[in-house]
Amino acid sequence: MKLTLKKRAAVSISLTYSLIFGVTSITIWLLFASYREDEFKIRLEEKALTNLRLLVEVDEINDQLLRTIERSTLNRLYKEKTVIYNSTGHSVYSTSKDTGTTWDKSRLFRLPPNEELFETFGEFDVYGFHYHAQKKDYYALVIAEDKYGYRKLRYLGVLLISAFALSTPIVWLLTFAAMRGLLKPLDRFITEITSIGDRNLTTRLALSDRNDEIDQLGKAFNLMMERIESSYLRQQEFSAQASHELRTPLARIISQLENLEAGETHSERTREYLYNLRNDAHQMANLIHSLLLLAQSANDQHFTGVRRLDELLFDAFEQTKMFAPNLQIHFEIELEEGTDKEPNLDVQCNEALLIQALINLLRNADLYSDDHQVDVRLKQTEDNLLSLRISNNGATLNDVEASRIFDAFMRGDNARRKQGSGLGLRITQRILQYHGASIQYIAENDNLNVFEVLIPVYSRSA
Amino acid sequence: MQGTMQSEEKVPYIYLLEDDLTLSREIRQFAINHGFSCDVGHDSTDFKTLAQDKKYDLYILDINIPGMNGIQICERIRQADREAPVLMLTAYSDVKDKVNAFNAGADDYLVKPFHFDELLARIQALLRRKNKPLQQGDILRVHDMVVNIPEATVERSGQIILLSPKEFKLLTILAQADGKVVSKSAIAEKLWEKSVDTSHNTIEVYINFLRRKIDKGHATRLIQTRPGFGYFLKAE
Repeated sequence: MKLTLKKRAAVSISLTYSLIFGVTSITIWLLFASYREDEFKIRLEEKALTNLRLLVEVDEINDQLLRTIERSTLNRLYKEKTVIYNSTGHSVYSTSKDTGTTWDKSRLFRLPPNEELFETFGEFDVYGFHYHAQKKDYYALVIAEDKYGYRKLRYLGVLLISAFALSTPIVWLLTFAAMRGLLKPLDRFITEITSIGDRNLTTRLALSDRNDEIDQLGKAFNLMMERIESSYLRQQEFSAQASHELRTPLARIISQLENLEAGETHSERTREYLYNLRNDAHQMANLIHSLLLLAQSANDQHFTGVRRLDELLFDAFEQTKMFAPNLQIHFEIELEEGTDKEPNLDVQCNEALLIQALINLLRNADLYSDDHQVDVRLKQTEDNLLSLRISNNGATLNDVEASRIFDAFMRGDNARRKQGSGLGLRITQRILQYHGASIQYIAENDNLNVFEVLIPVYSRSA
Repeated sequence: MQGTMQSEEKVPYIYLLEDDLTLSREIRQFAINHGFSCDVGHDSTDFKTLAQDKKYDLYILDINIPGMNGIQICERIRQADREAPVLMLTAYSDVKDKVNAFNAGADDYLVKPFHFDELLARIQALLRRKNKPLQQGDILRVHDMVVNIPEATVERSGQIILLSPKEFKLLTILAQADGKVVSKSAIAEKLWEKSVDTSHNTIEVYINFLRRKIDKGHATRLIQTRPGFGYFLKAE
């Protein structure tokens, strides 16, 4: 079982407490039990000696008188029985006829002179003494039940057990509450840290001025965030700079190729080479463009505009046709079944990024189609989602390939003899995720590739 | 370099400011191939010494050039000659750069690398916008609605209505029919080029988009349906 730090601390503190409390209680109880025994023994001893002295040393007192004295005294013990035997083992004095116990008397008679014995026998305590004086031997036996002593002992036991039973959960709860209070900043840290993504790297943990370990942890975390943020910014800057530096030579290459193509008469083969070269250069420019856009996208200020998805699609279509002159699209806006309510096609977006994603999808659909026909359908599925379905007829991917379709540099079996880097869909997915949208690939039948994008609708009232 | 201004033989004169020697040479070659005259400068000093006092029909400015950058040059051109269109050329595609360029008075913006076809289309569009005085049919009126085609604006009862490009094109198609019914197929054909095909349902969706913006909140409805035939504009 996995316990949180709070529970673990609470459990171990309360277990330790219970252990200490338990051991202490048992010690107290044992000490008290031994104290009761000592005390009761003293009382029995006094009783035995008093009776012996009265009977043996005071001539005026015989057993009758002693019994009378005994009966009238307040110092009687509960279920008490005192018997005094002479050296032959005959009872010369007894407080009651019925011995009431089966205690073995022979042990009393084996006692050496002036020695005593004391033991507990059932509910009774037994005291025996071999009296030896003036060459006379008497044996005194006092048996009684320490009713009040045991009651006190029981009472103490109940007290200790109740205190233990009551205090353990209280300590548990108190420690838990205390730990929770103490670790509350940690919980807050967890919530704040979990929400950090590449769009809010500027987040810093709010610290108290207690300067305790948790605060120091927060400080260390903030320091780490600072380093991450600055290295992220450096990386972004580098991507921006690099893609900028790459664009100029590409522009040079493309412009020279275009002029070369337009100029002199070339053989069919040269023309084809020039065309392919120019296309490749444009594809490279596109990749660089996407990379730059993604590098910039971490910055929230680029995420501003609200545009209609259909218009973005047409913009993307215009640009796609530069690379895919044969592309034909069938475009539909579908209404929700059973209504003629027109859909809301507004999306909040970074326009350049989203257009790039759509270009990638259209281009991909054209490239992997048999006939350059691409079907595009827009539909508002639920109140807050727009579904964009882009499909084409062409060889589909198998399950393994389909599961890896959005991985970088993944190229399916159907990509043979096709141009492409294997980065387009990865970038597309990244752009869509950035817009809170999802994309999935479905091979609806053996020859139908479908990409479905679900993107949140922007509603002005929201 | 030649010093001709707005030429008598009506060859549009372009000034290109681009620090990359190869690229500027190729763009100039391309412009000349397409019947334009073209002067080239490589930095702000070139511009100040050779071009500042001349009037060109169109300026193509790279933003990132030595000395003053393209945006500052653009501001200068605007101070001297408010008319000539300016096309900014840059390797940056940052939104901020775009906004700065437009704020400085640029008319259009093209990110490197570009297709020459696209450059040509933009040059032609900018020159057309500049040269052409308003002609008949540029401004269409239906009841209290005014459609300004060159400026791509629509007003109703003096209030500007914001339309998406497709909606504007659809409205223009209907307005140009001058009250006659336009069939859904005809709309589809004109609204999209040959490479896009769509169903009548989608045309209906666009008509509804347009209705919501044009007719909603007005007592007189302008977009009419003739079931089975198509749509037309008429005040009703």
